[in-house]
Amino acid sequence: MNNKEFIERVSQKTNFETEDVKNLTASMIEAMLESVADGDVVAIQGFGTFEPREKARRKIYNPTTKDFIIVPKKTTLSFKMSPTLKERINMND
Amino acid sequence: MAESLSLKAGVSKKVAESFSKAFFDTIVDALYMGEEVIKVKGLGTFKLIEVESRESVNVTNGERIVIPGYKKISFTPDDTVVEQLNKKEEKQENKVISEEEIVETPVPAIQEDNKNVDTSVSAISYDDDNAESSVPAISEEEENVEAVTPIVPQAENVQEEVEPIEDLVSVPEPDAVETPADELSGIDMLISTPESLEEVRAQFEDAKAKAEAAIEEARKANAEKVRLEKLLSRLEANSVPESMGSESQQEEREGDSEVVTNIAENSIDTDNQSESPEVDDSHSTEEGSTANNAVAVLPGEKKEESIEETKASDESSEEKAPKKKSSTGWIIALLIALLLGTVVFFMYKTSKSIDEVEKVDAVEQASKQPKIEEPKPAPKVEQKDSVSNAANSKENAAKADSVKTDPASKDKKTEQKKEEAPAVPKTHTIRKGESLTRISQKYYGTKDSVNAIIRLNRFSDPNNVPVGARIMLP
Repeated sequence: MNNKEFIERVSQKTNFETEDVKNLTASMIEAMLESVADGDVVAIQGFGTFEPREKARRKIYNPTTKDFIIVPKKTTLSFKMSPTLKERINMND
Repeated sequence: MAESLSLKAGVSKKVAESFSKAFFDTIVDALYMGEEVIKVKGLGTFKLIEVESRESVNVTNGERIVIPGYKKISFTPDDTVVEQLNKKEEKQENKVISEEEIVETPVPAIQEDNKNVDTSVSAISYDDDNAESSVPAISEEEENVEAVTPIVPQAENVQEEVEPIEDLVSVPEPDAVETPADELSGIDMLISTPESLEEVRAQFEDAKAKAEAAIEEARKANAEKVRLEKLLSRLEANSVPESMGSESQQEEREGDSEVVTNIAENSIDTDNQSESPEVDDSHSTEEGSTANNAVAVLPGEKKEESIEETKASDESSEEKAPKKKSSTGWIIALLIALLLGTVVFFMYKTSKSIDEVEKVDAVEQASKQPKIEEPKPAPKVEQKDSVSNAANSKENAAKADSVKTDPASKDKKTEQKKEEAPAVPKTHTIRKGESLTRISQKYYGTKDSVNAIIRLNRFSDPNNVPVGARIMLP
């Protein structure tokens, strides 16, 4: 399911216009990322937590050129399911 | 969360809350409904991944357990999200990075320390170079060579003088140059070589001056030789039988095989053959010697140049130099030889074996022919003489080496005896053409132990260890 489909579904659920849903998602994500960028953990009830994770710099080996390249450290956004979501997903099997 | 959203979007709290709920519910529902991938623009992708059931062992009991399979949601953030995060955290990272740099800087400092150690080592070897540089030893050798051979007529003196100079020039340089190639101890060599090179070059110029003088003399001799050859060729063209006799005389010297086949070829190529041998006979005593000198000088010069340019090893350079000169001559000779061979083939249609033998002779004779055909024969003289003199020069070189190595070894043995005094499990006497790297390669399988050898033996000049010297092996 791509972004378009997803927004349509959200609009169906909330009875908002798709345009509004678009704007709202965008602003919501922006707000989330801002708080994440500050190093905060964004927890959403019943869904999970978003938090920034630092990936340490590391050496990678290029087997063709036989070079060791140092990849600088970077931060990524990590997501962890909340236990309730886990239960819900695994319940009906 | 909802508050921030309401602030951002300018919506009431209730709306924001319900929207965010709806937003994440849709994701969960979609995943629950069996949707595998959900892409949300600006956030990332949520994927439903099934983890299959697997067996494991209870750590405490050692019993086997089956961990049931389950589903999980994997999330990979958008590239834009990662960029945004890294941008915003750059400020924070900068501080961290500065700390890292502080931590990292000691490492290069240690490397620099190592370099310093290396340079100090090189400085020692450098001093040693100055102390008993190989050049004075060489000059002594030169004198020795000259002193040994005063009895011999002047012509030979010149020849022997020239060749030792070649050797002197060729021997020290390649050693100095070889070792860096072998990575003996890169920095040491780089620093030590330039000085030795300069010293060697100073000798070079002396040798060149002598060599050039000798060359000029030789060229004069060649010019005279050419004139005489022309005269003789005309005379001999008329008188065939005389040429036959003269040929047989000289060719007997050259080899039995030639004599057998020459008779056949003489009848065909009487003109060509007859001229050259007689010329050689007539001038062999006086001019021949000078010509020899000239040839000997020429390879010498070329050797020097080749050494300067290629900086090849001793043996290769000695062998290459004559080959280079002769190569151009040989090409001409081969062409003529082919022509002769074809002519002979059509004329007589003899067996192949004879043709081949004749070709061999033709090659040798062809080297003589160009002299007659071309009036100014610098390369021709070289051809013939280089073939014959290559052997002579090598012998002389060998003599010169033997003469040369003696004083050098004496000089350095006295010093080395003190150093080698302590008893060592293994020793190795250096033969000609051996390098320390080769020795280490031989005994230890790596070039790395060269430094160990050098350290153990405390060579005055590790680049130029005399032949016959005994070295200790770690």
